[in-house]
Amino acid sequence: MKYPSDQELENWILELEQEELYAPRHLKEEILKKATQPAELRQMAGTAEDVKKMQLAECSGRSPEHPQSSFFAYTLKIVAGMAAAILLTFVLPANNGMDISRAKERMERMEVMADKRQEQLIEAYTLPDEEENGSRRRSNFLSHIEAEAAQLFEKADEVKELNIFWNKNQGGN
Amino acid sequence: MEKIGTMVTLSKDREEKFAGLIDTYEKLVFSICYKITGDYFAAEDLSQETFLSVFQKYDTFDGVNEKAWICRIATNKSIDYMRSSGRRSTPTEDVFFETLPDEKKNPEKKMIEQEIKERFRELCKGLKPPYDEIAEDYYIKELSVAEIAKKRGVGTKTIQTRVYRARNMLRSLYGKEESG
Repeated sequence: MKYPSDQELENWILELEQEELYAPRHLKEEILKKATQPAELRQMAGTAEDVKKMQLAECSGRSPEHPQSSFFAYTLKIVAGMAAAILLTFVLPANNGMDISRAKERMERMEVMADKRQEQLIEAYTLPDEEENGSRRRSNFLSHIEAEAAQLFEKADEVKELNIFWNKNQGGN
Repeated sequence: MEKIGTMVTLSKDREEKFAGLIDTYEKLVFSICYKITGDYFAAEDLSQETFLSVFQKYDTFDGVNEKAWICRIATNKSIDYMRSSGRRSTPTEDVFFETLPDEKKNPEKKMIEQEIKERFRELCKGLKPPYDEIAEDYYIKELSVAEIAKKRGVGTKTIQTRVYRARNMLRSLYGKEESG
């Protein structure tokens, strides 16, 4: 498309004005807004499309004039969040919501319970001496008792191991 | 589209003068840009750039024929846009500015506003809610952002954001129609 001469342009404008001319209602407001923007912003923006993007940033409350400071603040937030997450990852499992002393007490109680249970089973399944024919049965029962007691002691050991782990994370007590 | 350079801070008097220029010439400038490009959004951007150039260069204007000067800026910017985007104008390039004798003019030729709004009505149907209604209010009914916000009972910043998004969606739909 070639540039029109002055005469051609003038004639064309006259013809155009015979039609009903039109402009969007919001055009003037947008032009004045851009015309009164700080020069640095418009220089940074460049095209009309970029200026619109910056206006959108203004609408959302962000600061287009200082993008570096907002990025820095954002970075700080992310780092603080990560540090808090890492801290909680190590602190929470070590405590599991309870004091070390209370965990020890719990372990001791479980050991006592295991001992008592063993004694109870022995009393319940021990037969009188005069029943010599039942000595084999007695030994089987005792084996059964021992197996149950072993399970209880295993649980007590698990609690002990947890306590050792807690002690390690606490630097030993 | 070319970059707009640094601009001198507007004094109140200059601002009033430029507001007056916009009032006087905005319809003519937009119509020129729309007639040459055939694209509403391009015409909008080119009109803005035209007036910003006028503001920037007004001190160098010799004051002879203000209307012709502003129309020349708008025309040249529109032609540059068409050349840079590689588009072909209609009907033929070199005779675009030749005026036709009266008997050859098309009596059924639509007015610019009518043509634009009919096109927007079709395009708005392709948008998802609430952008279809926002676009209709802003581009067809030509309500302001404040008026739309009041009508819908939401904040102006929300409406501004939605208008911006609707504009982008319409622009891409517009572009598809042009190339399709």
